[in-house]
Amino acid sequence: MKQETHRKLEQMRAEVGRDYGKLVQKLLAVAFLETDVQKLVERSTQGIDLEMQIAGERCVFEVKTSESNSIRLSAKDFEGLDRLVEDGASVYIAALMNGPLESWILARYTPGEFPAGKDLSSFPFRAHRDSDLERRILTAFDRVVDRDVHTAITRRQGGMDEVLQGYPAWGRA
Amino acid sequence: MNAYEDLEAKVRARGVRVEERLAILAKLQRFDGGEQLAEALDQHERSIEEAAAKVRKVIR
Amino acid sequence: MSGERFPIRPVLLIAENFRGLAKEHSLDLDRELTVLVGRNGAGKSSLLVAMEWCLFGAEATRKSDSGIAERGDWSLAYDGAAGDVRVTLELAVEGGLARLTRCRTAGGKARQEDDLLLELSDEEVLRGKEVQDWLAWNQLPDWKAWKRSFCQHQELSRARVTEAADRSTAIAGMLGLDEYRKVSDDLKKLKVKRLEQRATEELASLQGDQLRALERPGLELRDLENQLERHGVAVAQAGEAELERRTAALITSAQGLAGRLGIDDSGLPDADGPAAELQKWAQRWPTEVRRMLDVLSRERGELAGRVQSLGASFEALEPARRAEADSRNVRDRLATELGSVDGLRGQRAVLAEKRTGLEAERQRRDALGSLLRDAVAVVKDAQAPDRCPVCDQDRSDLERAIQAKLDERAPDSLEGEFADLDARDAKLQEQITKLEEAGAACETNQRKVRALEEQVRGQLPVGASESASIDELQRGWQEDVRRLGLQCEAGEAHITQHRGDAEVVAILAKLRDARARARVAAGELTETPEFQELQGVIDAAAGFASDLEALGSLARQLEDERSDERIASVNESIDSYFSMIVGASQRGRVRVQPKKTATKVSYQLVDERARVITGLMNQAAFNALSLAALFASAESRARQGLPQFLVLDDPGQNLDDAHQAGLASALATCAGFAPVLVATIPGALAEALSKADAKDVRTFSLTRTDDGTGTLVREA
Repeated sequence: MKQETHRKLEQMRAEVGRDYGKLVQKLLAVAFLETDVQKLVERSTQGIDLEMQIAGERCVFEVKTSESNSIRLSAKDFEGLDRLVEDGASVYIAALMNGPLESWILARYTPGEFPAGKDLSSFPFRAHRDSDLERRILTAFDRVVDRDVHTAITRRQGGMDEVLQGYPAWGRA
Repeated sequence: MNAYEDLEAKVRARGVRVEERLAILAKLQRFDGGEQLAEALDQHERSIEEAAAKVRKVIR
Repeated sequence: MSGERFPIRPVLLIAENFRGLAKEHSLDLDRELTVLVGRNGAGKSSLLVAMEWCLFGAEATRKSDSGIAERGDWSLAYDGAAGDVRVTLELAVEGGLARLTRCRTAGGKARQEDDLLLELSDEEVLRGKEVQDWLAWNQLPDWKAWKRSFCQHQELSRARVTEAADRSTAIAGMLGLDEYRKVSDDLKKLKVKRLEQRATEELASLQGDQLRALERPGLELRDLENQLERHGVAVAQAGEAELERRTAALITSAQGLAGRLGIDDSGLPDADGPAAELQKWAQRWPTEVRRMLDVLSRERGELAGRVQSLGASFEALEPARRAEADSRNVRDRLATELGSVDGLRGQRAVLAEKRTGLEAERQRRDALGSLLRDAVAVVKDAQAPDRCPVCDQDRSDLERAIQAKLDERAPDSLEGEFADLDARDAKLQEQITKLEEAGAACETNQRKVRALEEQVRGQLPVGASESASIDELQRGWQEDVRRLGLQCEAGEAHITQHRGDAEVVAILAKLRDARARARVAAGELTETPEFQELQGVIDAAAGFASDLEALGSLARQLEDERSDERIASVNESIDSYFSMIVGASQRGRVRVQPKKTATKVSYQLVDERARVITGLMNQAAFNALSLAALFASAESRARQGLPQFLVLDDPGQNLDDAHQAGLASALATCAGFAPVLVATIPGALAEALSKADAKDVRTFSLTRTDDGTGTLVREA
């Protein structure tokens, strides 16, 4: 991720406060929409933030952002993810830590691989990262932040929803 | 079924990094497996330090 | 690694000078149950501990290692023993026997390494670390496992039920879960968190570096740009293309000079090669050129010297030749005029002969004169001077006549001839001298000419014709000297030029790197190959860490699952032994309760109401529980085919007679699974053991010798 992207996200964090995580999630959704995903839906159920079809496969993402370079997933989060795996979905944890050298880690989730209720750095997720998927959104995310961060800062979630609605593959849950 | 066979079946059932984990399991069965794994751990640590040193050189 | 294996067991113990045992004592152990009966101080414990020392050495006898405080003050050697302390344990192994011997030399210090050797039935002998490896490979216990599952000491009897780790490990062993636990423990030892910590620290450090780099002003860039301007390079053109062009020019120029000076140019770098190599070469190159110029300069100096020397030699040759010819002419002319030296010397010889004749005449005349002078004197002295004194004749003129004769024969009359001869001889000598001098001068000149000719020939290249090509040669040499001079000048000029150009190239390269760093600092670090590589190695380390953690977690999960499956039989075993010792009324009192956490599985011993049982027990029950756990563990290990034997030192302590009878029964039962060696004082337990329902029992009585200084071992 470019330094400039970090700088803009930091600026957004300073401006939007608690909305930061949700707005980053929407920016990530836009980045996915800029690649060739089919039907991307934003959800707010346990263990799913984004759901999309990639090459005909059902992929769900739990998006986690952090200010302190660690994230925590509760046993309930894992239960939700376990159910999705049982349903046959490809489940990912999308983690973005804070810092100029950090980038999105999209880690494939398998039940039993991550401990619940613990602060986790990006390290344990690296073992399961899907580099192809990460490459797919890397430049798109830089571009989207560059273009849409102003909307996110000034018009918050409503503004970002409008951006999302501009993509044919976007759909509401 | 001994513990190692039992574990092998579990690793296969989970289906994550199967080859790598079976290789480690095979080492654990060896008399000097612990030493080999400790050496591998050291090697990973050294690799991180060396790669970080290269990045540091780029920055400085 | 469970499965069918040969049950390794001890069959013979030999101890010499060990603790309370003076000299050598042996104990046949090849029975299911071996009982040692003796009063306090008879040497029972010494025999049991001898086996421990043989297997574990200092670990079993040092306070810090053994965990047994009283062993800290132990002296291994029998008090007053002069010989070595030696214990041999003979083990029945698959295919024969193995003799394990540990020896400490007499007077050896406590910290001294013992001699440890193992003689195998195929005559192979292992020593030291090899023995330890053999014991481990054959799954004989280490000291910790021994304390947990092989022995009962008064000092340690409670730890296996009170110490959580010991208890859990012992129960895991009973459940046949040693291997699962071993996997967990081996993985725990690896401290896998270290990798995450290292990666996190390095990334944090780099992040700090990058933040500082972002803040760093562009002073470095400006300084480099100023340096370029001082070299006449406009900043606007100071880009990658200019660097490439100048680098290529630097190398082309070097190639040109190399060709001109005959320097091997295979070491010249590629223009698009690594910058560091190019820099090193650019610094090194003037030295290489200088070395070559030194060679050329020396060559030039030598050649110039040769031209000068040849010229000088050649110039000196002609006058020498002329002088030689002149002297030869003089010599020849004199020879013509005067004849040969030998001829003249012949003439001188003739003159010398003549002189010799004259000398003889002069002597004759001198003698005659003397006579005549004598005669005159006689005549003068005669009384008649006119008469001859001889013939007495009248000789009035006698004196005159004699005088006349005297005068006539005077030597002076020969002087003229002598003078003539001498004059002629002197002339001849002079002529000879002239001839000789002319000859010598001629020879000297000839030698000089020959030497000069030799000198010239020596300076000519092989095969060169002296007469024809000297001029040509000299011209050629002079041309070479001139050419070498030009090469040296060109080399010097090249060095000066190269230094300037190389400096510009170095500054351009520094500027490029500084601009790259500035770009990196401005946010492109994560796109550099170096950062990508770091990501790769951290990902690999994370994979490795994940594998180790997942395997540990799976091992614990499996231990948990399998313990659920097997716990009933272990409960039955412990409960059975416990009730055997304390009475049937206590049946169903003890059971194992697993406790699971994310990182470990531990086990507690609880009663039928799930209360921790150790908190509820009296001393006797406590001992009984410890022994029951030991027997259950031994039985379980034996059932799994693992090496197992039990060594118990006075296990009936704190038990009443009824409990001791129960203990004897439990020992006999356990001995059916694993050999048991038990030491006890005479009393209820010894009595009960003698009547125990065991098929294969042997009892030894231990007594002090009559003088009280040793132990007697007799089969009862």
